[in-house]
Amino acid sequence: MAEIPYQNIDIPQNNPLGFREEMPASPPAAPKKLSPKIILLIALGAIILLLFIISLIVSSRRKNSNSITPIITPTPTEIIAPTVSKSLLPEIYQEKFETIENNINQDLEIEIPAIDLEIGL
Amino acid sequence: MWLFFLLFFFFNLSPVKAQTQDELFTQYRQDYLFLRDEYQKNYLDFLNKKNVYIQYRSITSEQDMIESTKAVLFSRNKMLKSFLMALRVSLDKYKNINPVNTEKNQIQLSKWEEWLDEQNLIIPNFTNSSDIKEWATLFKNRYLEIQNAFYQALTQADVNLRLYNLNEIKLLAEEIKTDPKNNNFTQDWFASFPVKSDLIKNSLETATALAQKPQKARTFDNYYPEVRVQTQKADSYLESLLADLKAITIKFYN
Repeated sequence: MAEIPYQNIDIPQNNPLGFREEMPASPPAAPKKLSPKIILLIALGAIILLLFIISLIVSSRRKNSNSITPIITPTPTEIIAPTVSKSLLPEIYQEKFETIENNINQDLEIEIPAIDLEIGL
Repeated sequence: MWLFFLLFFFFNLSPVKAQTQDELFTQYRQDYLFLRDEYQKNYLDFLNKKNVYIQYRSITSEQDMIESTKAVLFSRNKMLKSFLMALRVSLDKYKNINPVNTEKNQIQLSKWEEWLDEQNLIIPNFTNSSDIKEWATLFKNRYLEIQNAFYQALTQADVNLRLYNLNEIKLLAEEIKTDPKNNNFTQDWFASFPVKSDLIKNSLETATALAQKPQKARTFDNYYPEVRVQTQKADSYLESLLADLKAITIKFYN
């Protein structure tokens, strides 16, 4: 009985017979054409992602500009008007001066009526 | 016993407190403000009814418009009367400064108050647009005189107040002059007083002259802003007089 050499037909490289099975040349895989729906979806997703990133950047910038560290501003000193201090006046005249001061620039508190003279005409 | 009761009754009666001039003015002013609001409400209603009439020209809408016109004219007269009353009462405050002219103004105001009252007896009797129109024309002409009367009164009130203040400053200066601590410090002040006093009086006379100028045009020539300029000028002189007097008083007391 002739010895039948073991031939591993699954792995041609290991074939002891030196038999090299010609593998049928597989045709180069043609690039799979994406359906327009998927392209649209990808485009939309990209736009959304872009907008999201932009919004993040804008909000972070705004936050930075708002968070200005408070600086203590010095309050301007009151301009001292050259007025005569009331306290320097003797008490007996204080009230009299005050009454006259209040009377000056005091006008009649009554508004002049505004009327429409065309009523009935 | 009866005599005792009678005596107790008469002596225990608390006298009715008379309203002060200020209280009376405040009350009349409040009445005026209330009536002014009423007039404004009636005026809006009148405008509304007038628009409806212009749109539909129906008998009902015309009747509504006539009624609303009567209401607004009635409330306008009431408001004006209350304004004149408040003004007349306000003149009492410094009447002593110039009693003759002040009284003259008050009489004028009273005359127009009565006239407005009389008109409000006529207005409810109107039944058609032509009667209303005739009355409105008459009122328009009379309002020139009413305006003149109340602006003259306002001018008088302004003038009286300034003259009163001038007099008060003079009285105070005389009091300070007799102060034992005053070693003739007020001499200069009294020397310059006639000049400043004349300047004040000139401004006030100009204001009075402006108010007395007869109105010739068919529309009212409002002189009151010019009057205000003159009274403000007088105020600045008064302030200057008072400030000088104050400085002198402080000087000899410190």
